[in-house]
Order: sequence, then C-alpha cells, then structure tokens
Amino acid sequence: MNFIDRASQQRRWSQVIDLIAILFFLIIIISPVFFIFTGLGNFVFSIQMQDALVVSFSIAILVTIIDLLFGIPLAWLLARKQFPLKRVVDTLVDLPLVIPTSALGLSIALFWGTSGIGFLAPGFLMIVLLHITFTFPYVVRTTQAAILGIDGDLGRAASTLGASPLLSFRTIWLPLFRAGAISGALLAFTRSLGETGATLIVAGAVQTVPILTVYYKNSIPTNMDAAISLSAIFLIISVFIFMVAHSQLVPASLRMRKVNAQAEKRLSQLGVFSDAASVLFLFLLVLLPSFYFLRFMGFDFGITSLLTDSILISFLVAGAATLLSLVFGIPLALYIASKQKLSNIMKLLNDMGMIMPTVTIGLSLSLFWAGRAPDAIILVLAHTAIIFPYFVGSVSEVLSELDENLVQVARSLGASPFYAFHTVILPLAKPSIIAGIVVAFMRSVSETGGTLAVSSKIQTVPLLIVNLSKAGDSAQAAFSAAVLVALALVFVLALRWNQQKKW
Amino acid sequence: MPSIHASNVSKYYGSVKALHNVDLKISDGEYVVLLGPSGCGKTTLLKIIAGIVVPSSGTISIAGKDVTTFYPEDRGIGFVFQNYALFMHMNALDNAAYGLLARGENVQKAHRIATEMLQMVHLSERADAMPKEFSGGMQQRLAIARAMATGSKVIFLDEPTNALDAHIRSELRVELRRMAKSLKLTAIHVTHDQEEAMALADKIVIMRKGKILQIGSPKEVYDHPINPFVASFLGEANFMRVKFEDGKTNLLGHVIKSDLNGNYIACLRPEALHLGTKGTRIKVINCRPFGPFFKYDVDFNGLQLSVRSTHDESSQEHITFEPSDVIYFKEPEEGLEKSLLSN
Repeated sequence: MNFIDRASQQRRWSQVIDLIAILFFLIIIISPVFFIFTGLGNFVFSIQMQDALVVSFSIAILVTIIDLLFGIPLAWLLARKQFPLKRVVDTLVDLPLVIPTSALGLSIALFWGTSGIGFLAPGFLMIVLLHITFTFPYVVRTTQAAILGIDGDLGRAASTLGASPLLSFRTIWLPLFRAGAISGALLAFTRSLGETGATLIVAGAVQTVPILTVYYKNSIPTNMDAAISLSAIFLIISVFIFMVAHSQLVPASLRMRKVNAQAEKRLSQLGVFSDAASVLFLFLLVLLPSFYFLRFMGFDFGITSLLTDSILISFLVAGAATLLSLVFGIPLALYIASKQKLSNIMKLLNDMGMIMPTVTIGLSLSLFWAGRAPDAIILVLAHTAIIFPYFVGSVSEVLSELDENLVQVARSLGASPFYAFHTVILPLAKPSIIAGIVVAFMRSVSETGGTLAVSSKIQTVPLLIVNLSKAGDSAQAAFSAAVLVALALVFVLALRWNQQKKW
Repeated sequence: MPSIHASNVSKYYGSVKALHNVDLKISDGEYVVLLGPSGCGKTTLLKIIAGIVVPSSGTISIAGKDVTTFYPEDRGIGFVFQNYALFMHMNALDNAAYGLLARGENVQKAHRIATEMLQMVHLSERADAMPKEFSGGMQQRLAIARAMATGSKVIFLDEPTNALDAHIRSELRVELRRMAKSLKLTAIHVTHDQEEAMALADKIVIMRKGKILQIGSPKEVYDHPINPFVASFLGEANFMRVKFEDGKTNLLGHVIKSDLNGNYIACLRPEALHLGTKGTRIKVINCRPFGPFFKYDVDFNGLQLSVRSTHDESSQEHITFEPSDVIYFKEPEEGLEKSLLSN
C-alpha cells in the first residue's frame, strides 16, 4: 500500500478532496462567471431586449424540435439497426463539433447564401440552420446512449405479444429513452441559446441575446447596465425552463389505451423512410453545410507562421482548460453523483454555467480578473469556465448510474477508497470520461465568442479565422479552419482508439 | 391445431455452429422440455421457433402453416423471457393486457381477460402495482400471465425459473404444468435443470453441441438413454468399461451373461446398486444424508462408485445389483470422458 492508498483510507482526505473540488468550482468557475451581475448599476429593460429574448428562445425551441424530429430516428437507426457503412455514419455525427464556430458560421453563410445554394440571406432561418449543425450531435448522441441502455428483450417481448414495430417503439422504447432524449434536447437548447461567434456571421440584422450583449459591450461608451440586465433576465428564464424540463425527467410510466393495430402495422412499414430521412438530414442539412467552407480553401505561404502560432495557442489553451476540467471536474462529478448535502446545489450551479452565453462568460471573466492576471491566464480560465460544466454534467450523469455495490465489493476485498476508485470506478467510467474530454477539448478549440470577449490580442485559430474573413481573405480563413479540423480529428480519433483499448 | 414442426434448422454465427440440422416435431397440447447444458443451442432453437432469431437454413411451421419468414408478432405465440422482460413503466394490469391491446382488442375486454389471467397467477389483488414492487416469483408469474393472456395456444418459456429460489421454483413448476394443461396449450420450455425437465415434460428433448441427441418421455430417456452423455445429464450414473468374451463378462465381481460381444461401457444408476451383507465386497468412504435418501461414495478395488439408498447403511461392506438394470453403451467416438463434457 502506498502513501495515497493509506491516506485515502482516512475519511478526512476524501472530504479534503471534495472541498478542493467544490472550492475550485465556486471560486474559479462560478464566481467569475456570475461576477458580471455585481456590476449592475441600474436595471434596464427595452423593447430591443424583449425582441432579442423572443428571437433567442424561438430559435432555440425551433432548433431543438427539429433536432429531436430527425435526431431520434437517427439515434434509433444507429443504436438498433445494422446497415452498410454504419460505423462511418456513426463517426460523422460528431464532426460538426470539431469545426471552429467562426468557420462554421462562415460555412453556413456560404452554403445557404449566394455563393452556395443561393436562396437564403443571413437572418432568422440561417441562424436556425446554423444552430442545427452544432446541436444535432448532442441530441443524437445522448438519445443513442439511452436507447443502448435499454434491455433489448423488452422489444422482443413486445413483438412476441403481437406488437407492431411502431407500437413497440411508441409504448416500450420511447417512454424508456425519453429522459435521455430530453437531456440531449436540453444540451442542444442551451448551446443554441448561448452561441455567439458563429451566430454573429449569419445573423444579418437579427439580434439574438448574445449578439445584443456584444453590441452593448462594443457600443461607445460601453452600455454595461444594459448588457448585465439582459444577461440576468436571460439567465432567469433559462434556469426556469431548465428546471421545468428537469422535472420531466421522472421515471417513465404509461397507461395503455386502445390500439388501432392494423393502422399501426401499416405505418410501421414507413420506418424505412424515417431511416432514410434521418440519414439524408445528417448529410444534407448538417454535414454538407458544415464542411462547405472546404470548397473555398486556398493557401498562401505567407500565412504559415501566423497559422502555426495560432494552432499552438489554440491547442495550449484547449489542453490546459481540458486538463483543469479533468483534474477538478472528476472529483466534482463524483461529489454530485454521490448525492451528498450540497450535490443538488452544485448541479444547479453547473447547469446554470452551461446556460450562460459564452460572450457573457468571457465578458464576466475579463471583468473579474482584470488586472489580476495576464490575458493568457484569463483566456485559459474562460475556456475552462465554458467547458467545465459540460464535462462535469456528462461524467456525473454516468457516475450516478454506476452500481454502488461495486465500490463496496472492492472495499470488502481490502481496497483503499483510492485504489477502488482507480481500479473499479475509473475503468467503468472511462468511456464517458473520454467522451467528456473529447467534447470539452473540441468546444475549447472551436470556441470563438468568449475568446473574443476576453482578448482580441491572443490569436487562437478561431480568432485568426475571424480576422482573416474580416480582411476579406476567406480562402485563407477556410484553409486555417481545415487545418484545425484535421488536427482536432487526429486528436479525437487517437482518443477513440485509446478508448477501445483496455485501461 | 397448434402442432409445431422445426425442419432441418441450422444456425451459424460466422463459423460457429449454434444449431446443426435440427428436426423437431411437437404435437398439439404437448408440454415439451428442451434440456441441455448451456451453449447447447436450446435457447437458440426456441428463439428460432418464436421468430426472435432468424435461422441460417430450415423451416418452421406452426399449426401446419409455414411461418419461417414471419415476424414474432405474426406467429400467434406467447414467450416468457429468462429475465422476465416486464414493462417496468406499466402496471401489472397493463403488462398483462398488452398482448390483447396490441392486437387491437378494446380496453374493457382486454382488461377483463387480463384480470382473469392475473387471478390465475394469484396477482389480481396487485393489478395496479408496478412490476418493480414485486418479488422475483411474482414478477415471473406476471410474465407468465402476460404471455398467456393473448389467448395464443402456443407458449414458449426460456429458463423461466432460473432466478427463483428452490422452494418457489418447485411450486411454480407445478403451476406451470397445471395452467398449460387447463388452457390446452402447446408448450416448449427450455431448461438446463434435469429435475425441472422430469417434473414438467410430456416429452424431453436432450440437446448437446447444437444437435438433438434423444427425444422421449421422462421415463424413456431416463431408463433408456442412447449414450453416456444423456445418461449422465439426466441423473447420476456410474460408468465402467467391460469386455464381453464368449457371451459373458465380469462386472463388479459379478459374472454377467449376454449375447453382446466386444468392448462396452456399462452404466449403473446409484439407486440400482444395493448395499447389504451379500455380494461384492466394497468400502464405504463417505455417507451424506439428503433427507429422503442417503448418498454414499463407495470404493471397489480403486474404482469409486456412487450409491443411493433410502436408509442409513454406512456400516455395510457389500453391494449387489440386478443385471437387468445395467445399461450398455458402445464406446463413443470421441472417448467416454470427452463425450460427457458439455461442449
């Protein structure tokens, strides 16, 4: 038994670890994120804000509904059926998450605009189409995981009882994976509400809440009262919606009603069409628009040194932020999963952190740390604040579903809590931790809005892309995005490959 | 009339043969038990007949109708799953009524029949309860009620008593057979428990390595096993190699006459050996009381035998047996020891 094993046997130490994780969360993540509200002078509310709130929530609701409409069939297809190239489609689902949001915005604007399909001008519809691309993966992934968690014998039992595929889906599967689909929808909803960088490019004259916040911040003189008031209202409404949605996550229960067996049986045969529609949706409305920017790629040696610098910065920032999330996020996730006194409060704060628009987080952090830390550190902390809640949220969900007896068994076999943790819990939670790392890392690498709010001097790749496209050099911008995507992909595939190996 | 015929059924998973050219005929109203060690293909055969697994080749007919390409929902069957597969998000009544509702029955009638079924399995008082509030035995009875409520005359049961404790298990067996007979069902029941097979079956089908070895009534297969594996799987058996020369051989010190010739394996059930004061000299090395009977390990010239008796005879030093109780087998191709293994 080494020092850590012995130390971990004392209850005191596990409490110290909990305490460190909670303090880190409260001081480094939550306080700076909500610091902005302390700067409120006078509460302001205008028609402009009201409009922005209506626009933001309408977009988020519309996007979430469309995601669910096509995401559930796709998740069903990937989880339950075998078809050629399934693995390829399965990998492609995550890809839009890798693209820097600034490049993604550009790509969407190009695809649907006059240089692509050519019938859409920037505006409401284009924002919806943009938000679908980066929220769709969340809905598909969480729903898919929920479906995979259901005992397949239940579906078989239903069919031996005479249920058509549609009836079995409607009365057995859907009620059981509903909670998973709702939490995926919530992720999509919050991502849509908070996204800033890409939305700026496709918004045209439409103002969402994050865009209006940027506008208030950039107006001369800075209209901080308006920016803060808007963020506050926004957050309150979001948290309310979040809590209502969470109350829907109760265990499923269903009363059976009269079934029109013949009609459902005939409708079941349309399943092929929903399969095809969901795959077509993925390719035509998510992947193709997201990667359309590659068509405009051009390269000029002049950019090489600028780009390598930016890549270095992007990966350093993302690496540091991911590492911080990993080190402090796992203990916090464990704490939330273990349902202790403050677990629910921590979970709520974590959810609120997820809802905050990235631009508000960036703004709030730069105010909080102003003069107290160099911009580079603030940037890392901002990225940590943005990705930390996602990491903790997904990991704690999985940890709370692990069998508690496992740790007890390990302890009864003489394992110290630390030994039990890294030989039992960690290997079992490993897939979800790696998935969490992937999502966190990619979020950081592609993050634009919050980065801009902290500093425009530290040029991460997304910022380089913004600057290049501002200068009218969209070929170079596209090239930079392509390089970043390629590198991020290598990183993701390496992690995935590692995921398949034993711990 | 729901007779069942599985004809020439094979199932391959890649290069693994789960079932190989299996042929099985089941008559109307029969209670058939598929018995064999785990991995013998019995559950695969059951699931192929039910339509849950698609066979690599062969045909299935139920009530004279070829249903090989039918989905489970179109075969008119009931299936009881090993892990119950209850719908945890529905109460007991809705679980039991599910099959009727799925077939388009109106709610009132479906609930009436479901309630009758719940009554039959003694759960009608708990119709509103959710399955997770039930004990293992209650969950199993609900799963049976659900499968039978559809009114289908064919029921399949996949190791239905596996997760229950011994006492509830034997109670449930009695009830299963009673229900199947009173509802005039054709039943196929999968188990690896020979005692269960004996207690339930009209006909036992013994399987090993994806093939059917023997089909017969419990008494037939117990008294006349076709090979050492069947003999040992259906109960304890003592095997001894013997060689017949000039129409006789020596077995446990007894001279036995027969028209057999050459090498054989002689098989004696423990209850066919009798301890007493006469016969072949042996030494009792172990005696265990099992309630209604005693089990002995005895030693005969270094050969260990299992003996069973209804009373304590541990002080005896001799055994006898009736030559007519001896079963003779040809040495299996793979050798006796290998032929007794599950796989």
